Amino acid sequence: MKNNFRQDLLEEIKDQASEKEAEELLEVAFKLNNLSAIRRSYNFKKAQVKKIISVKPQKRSFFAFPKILIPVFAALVLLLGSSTMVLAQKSLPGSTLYPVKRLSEDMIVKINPNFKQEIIQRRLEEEKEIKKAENHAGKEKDIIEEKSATTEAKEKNEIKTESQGSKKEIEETKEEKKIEDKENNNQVKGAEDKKDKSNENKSNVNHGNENKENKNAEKPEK
Amino acid sequence: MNSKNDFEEIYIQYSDKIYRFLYVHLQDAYLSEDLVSEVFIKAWKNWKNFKPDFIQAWLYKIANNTLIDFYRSKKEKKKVSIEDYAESEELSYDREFIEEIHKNEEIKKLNKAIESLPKKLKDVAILRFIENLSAKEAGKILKISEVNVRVLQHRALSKLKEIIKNEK
Repeated sequence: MKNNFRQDLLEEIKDQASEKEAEELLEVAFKLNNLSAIRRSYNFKKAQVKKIISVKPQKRSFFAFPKILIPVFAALVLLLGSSTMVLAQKSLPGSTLYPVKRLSEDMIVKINPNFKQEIIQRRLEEEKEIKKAENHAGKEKDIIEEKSATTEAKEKNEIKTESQGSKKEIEETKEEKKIEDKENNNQVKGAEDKKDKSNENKSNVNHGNENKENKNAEKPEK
Repeated sequence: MNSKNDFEEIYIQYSDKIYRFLYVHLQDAYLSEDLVSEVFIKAWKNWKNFKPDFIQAWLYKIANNTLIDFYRSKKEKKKVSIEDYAESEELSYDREFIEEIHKNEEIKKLNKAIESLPKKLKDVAILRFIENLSAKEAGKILKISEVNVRVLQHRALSKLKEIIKNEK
């Protein structure tokens, strides 16, 4: 036993015992340490390890999972299988579960041949259900077609009314524009006329003045 | 850490520790050798999953499980129970070494004293006082706290002290 280890151990033991008792316990620990002298020979160990290595190391296979999980896995498979079987009993020809239904029926027939009559009844019921489903589908189609036709007609009407309304609006705007243009033209014309008149007046006034001056100039010469 | 050479080194370094651990529990030199082989066959089979930092703890854990399995099976001696091992070659023993153990009076006395200890106390006594592992290392292997190891080691030493006193 190394000195450090002995010292550490003594301190550990002292925590739980008196110094005297700790020393006694340490002695016991020392005696126990004599067992560490049990050692096999080096040659023996070499020979042993070679034998062990001759055993092939285990390869991890995909299916190697804990044995505890096997019943859980089996229960899951059973549950899934039975639930699909139950679901398949309501399936009709053409559905994905129908082959499962047929398979289960075949299996039952093998066990109980009287089940054939039940199978015949089932086929008849299936036929009825298919017909029902087809009729239902036909009705639904008609309803859908009708609905689609009415909606199309409605849409067309709406488009028409919208287009008519837009035409009217365009015409109204055109007319409004025309009226506005006219008004503008009239205003412009009025303004021009006014200008002309004022010019004329002015020119008339000027002419008058000129005439007066001419008259005045002529008078003294007389 | 996958080669045969590495495994050989590990075996030479640790097989005596495992042997002592098993021998103190079983008090049978032959049976201990059989179980050491079983422990290392298990280790070799799972060598790819070996983590080099925890080799000692891993080997002790395998040894402990092997020991528990052995007690459960209630077999007095697993003569040729290891199928793979039996396939390779016959089991062999270090006869001289075993004779020495049988002759050693000190070992006999200690064996007698330890025999009466419960398994937990034995485990702690082996790891702490024979293999000189720290309380932390022993705790990791036995899956108990360091404080618990100290409590158990104190109990083990006290009991052994009484037994040895009574023998005198």
